[in-house]
Amino acid sequence: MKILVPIKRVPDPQTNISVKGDGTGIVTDNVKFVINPFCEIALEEALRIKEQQGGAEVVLVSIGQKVAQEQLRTGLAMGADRAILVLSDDELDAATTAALLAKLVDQEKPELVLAGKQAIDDDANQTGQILASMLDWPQATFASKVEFSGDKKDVTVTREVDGGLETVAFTLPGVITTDLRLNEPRYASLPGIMKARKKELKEIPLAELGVDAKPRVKTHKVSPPPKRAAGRKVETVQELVNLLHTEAKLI
Amino acid sequence: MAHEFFHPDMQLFIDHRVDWARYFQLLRGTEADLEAEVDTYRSILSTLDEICEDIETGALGHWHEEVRLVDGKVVVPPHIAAGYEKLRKAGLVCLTLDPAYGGYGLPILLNSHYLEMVSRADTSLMTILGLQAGVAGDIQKYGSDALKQQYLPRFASGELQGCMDLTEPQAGSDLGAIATRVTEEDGRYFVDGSKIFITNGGSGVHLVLARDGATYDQSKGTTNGLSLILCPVELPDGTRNKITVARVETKMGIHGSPTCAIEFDHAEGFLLGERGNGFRAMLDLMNQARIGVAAQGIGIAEAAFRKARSYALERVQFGQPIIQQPLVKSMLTTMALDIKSARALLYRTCAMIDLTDALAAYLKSGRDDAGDRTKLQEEYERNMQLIRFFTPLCKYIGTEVATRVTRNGIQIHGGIGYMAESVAGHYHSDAIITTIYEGTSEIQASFALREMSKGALFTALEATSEELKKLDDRFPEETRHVHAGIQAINDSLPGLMTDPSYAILNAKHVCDMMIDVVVAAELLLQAEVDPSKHLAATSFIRSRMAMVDMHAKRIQGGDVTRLDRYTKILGL
Ligand SMILES: Cc1cc2nc3c(=O)[nH]c(=O)nc-3n(C[C@H](O)[C@H](O)[C@H](O)COP(=O)(O)OP(=O)(O)OC[C@H]3O[C@@H](n4cnc5c(N)ncnc54)[C@H](O)[C@@H]3O)c2cc1C
Repeated sequence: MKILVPIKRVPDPQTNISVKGDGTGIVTDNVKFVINPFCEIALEEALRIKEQQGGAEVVLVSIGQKVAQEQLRTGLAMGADRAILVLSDDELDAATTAALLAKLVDQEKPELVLAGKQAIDDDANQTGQILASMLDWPQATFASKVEFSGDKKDVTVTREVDGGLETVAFTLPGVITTDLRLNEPRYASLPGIMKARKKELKEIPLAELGVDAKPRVKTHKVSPPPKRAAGRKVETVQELVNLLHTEAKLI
Repeated sequence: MAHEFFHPDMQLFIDHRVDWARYFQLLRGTEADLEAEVDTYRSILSTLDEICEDIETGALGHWHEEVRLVDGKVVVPPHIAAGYEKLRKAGLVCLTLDPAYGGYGLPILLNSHYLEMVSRADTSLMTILGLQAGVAGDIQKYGSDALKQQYLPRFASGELQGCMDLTEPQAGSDLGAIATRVTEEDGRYFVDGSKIFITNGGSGVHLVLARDGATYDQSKGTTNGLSLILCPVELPDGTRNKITVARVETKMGIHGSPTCAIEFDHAEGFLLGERGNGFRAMLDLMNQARIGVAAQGIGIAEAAFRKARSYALERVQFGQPIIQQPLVKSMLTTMALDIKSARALLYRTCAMIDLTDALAAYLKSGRDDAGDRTKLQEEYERNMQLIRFFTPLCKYIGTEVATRVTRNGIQIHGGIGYMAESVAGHYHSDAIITTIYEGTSEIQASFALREMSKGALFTALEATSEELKKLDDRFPEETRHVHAGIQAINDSLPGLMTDPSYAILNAKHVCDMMIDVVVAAELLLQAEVDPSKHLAATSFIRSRMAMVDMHAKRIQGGDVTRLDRYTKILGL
């Protein structure tokens, strides 16, 4: 089985993000970048499938600037087999990303695309869905459990939906997007890091894929969330109860 | 704030302060792919950065959990076992071991960054990991081929752990007092005796320093006649060796680190290195361990500093965060500069050790593609002299800084810092051990003084002056102060030369002065490649060169009342 895993380079969720003075984006100087956590979960799942099934190939894809090599190398060090970097200096919207991935699916012919449900930078939660419809493949989003049939032709996915779990099944090929509780990603290992140096990392200029990358979505302004107002200390429990009743109107 | 286990100072050093091209050229010739190698180092430290964050989270609130002895087996608290397992799975146990045995042959600099990071996350765990590369390295250097094949791959994989068994009740700083006996019987060796305070004493391999039975009486009281013996808990034929963990100590800190009393009851062992010359072999291990403990101290100090810094930003008194108070600012900046200086000395010493290892490898090889051998031989010898001098200085300053910084960490927390569950207090009780084991601060200062008197002082001062001269144009004001510091040291020398006991009396002052000028030059070199470091360098030089001057004046003063009138002062 061949599994395609798209991964996105995003700011470390641990870092404090500040917005540029002119509101055109975030300050990226001195910000650490990592693999988007949901993508990392997708990669971990792909690696587990590979380990269970033997013989599977895990191919990473990232679309972005040359620096995204770092994240691809990390992914290779975790155990992916090879990587493709589609070079683009522009911010791409979900539809363009999906179109590019669809192109790569044509070329690579994977049985499965395993992606994160969303990227933590723009939280769009669209790429996997758009990709599936472009390919006309079945999709299972927000996966919290992925199980294959004995002949590896069918897959059953447990989805996290509001208020409970939903189980869906489809026959490969298809698209799965991962939720937080699917697994706990491994760390890259020292032997893995050493091996990663010899693995293939192919770069493709975006133009070569012949996809119309004109943005359909435009970012007008980025602004920080409003600051939380300072809290207040109360002296007694009674006072607290009164305030919850009269001011907050919670009880 | 990012957690930055992979600290910007490490980045700076790896990016700008190591001549990797020369290192690889010497080590392997031209075929090394420089960028790929150094990139690998960065990847390793980035991975560690994440693992350490995880380890720190797992250790949080479990620092008080004690090691237990259950049916003769040493059982570490769950967070220690889990932390070890995380690192083992990632292949991060024996970084420096030779690839021939499954290691990675990484430079000491990387290993010391690794230990600093693990120490910051959980220093009890670090005490276990800090030993592994050193113990394995000693087996690699002094063991027979059979021993190497038998044990090293299992060290590399982390399946097997080791410990070093030196201390006995009557033999602490003074290893010449070791009484544990090793007897040869038909070419086999057997150990009898007891050791105390053995870190990780529950491990599968003990490296024991024991007195050779054949020369027992003649060699008593000296470090001659000691042999280094590898005692495995399980013998090669699968039977259990006669090694018992008699006790696990409870301590004021590093609760998760096993500290054990060990009994050897005619336990079989295998000789490492030459019979009767084991002290030398042990010194290799101890030197590596000293570098490790220096890194450990810096790791704890960094953890304490970060905690104090964020507390000072949050804690409001007199209507403003306490960080607004000049005295709190001063405490915090002193902490930051203390850590920076210990780091600067440690990292540059590690880089020098690596370069010197590469020099040694080149000189041993038949190659001649990396320069004139006679010249390189001279450089090698000069470096070895400096390494013998700087290694105890690194241990001394890294650990003294740890106790100072963590102490101030408590102070910044005020009363809450003194509570039993205080993290600041925990860091301090952990830090204190670092100035004691692997040779106390006093022993390090004495070793450094001995090396100075053998000529390392002049070599080091000369090298530092050379470095400064190249910086004169760029930083004239700063280098002037440091040149003056060197002059002050020179001026104090006559006072030290005349009386050895007066020199020892002042050993720590001399060490402090030397560290301060060497570090001053290093910080300026860093500022040269990274202007954001300039402020720290200037601030360090302003405060420390005044101290150098003061120490020098005091030494010149020649006051010996502490030596010959101490009974009166102490009320004896
Ligand atoms: C938690 C812990 C873990 C340890 N782990 C290990 C281990 O893994 N393996 C091992 O072999 N040992 C280990 N030790 C032992 C440790 O190395 C010794 O405790 C240390 O070397 C000091 O020896 P001592 O305790 O006998 O102190 P002493 O040697 O009695 O020293 C007492 C004081 O006198 C000073 N002093 C002694 N001689 C001199 C001198 N010549 N000049 C100036 N001052 C001097 C010392 O600096 C110290 O301040 C450990 C100890 C502890 C507490």
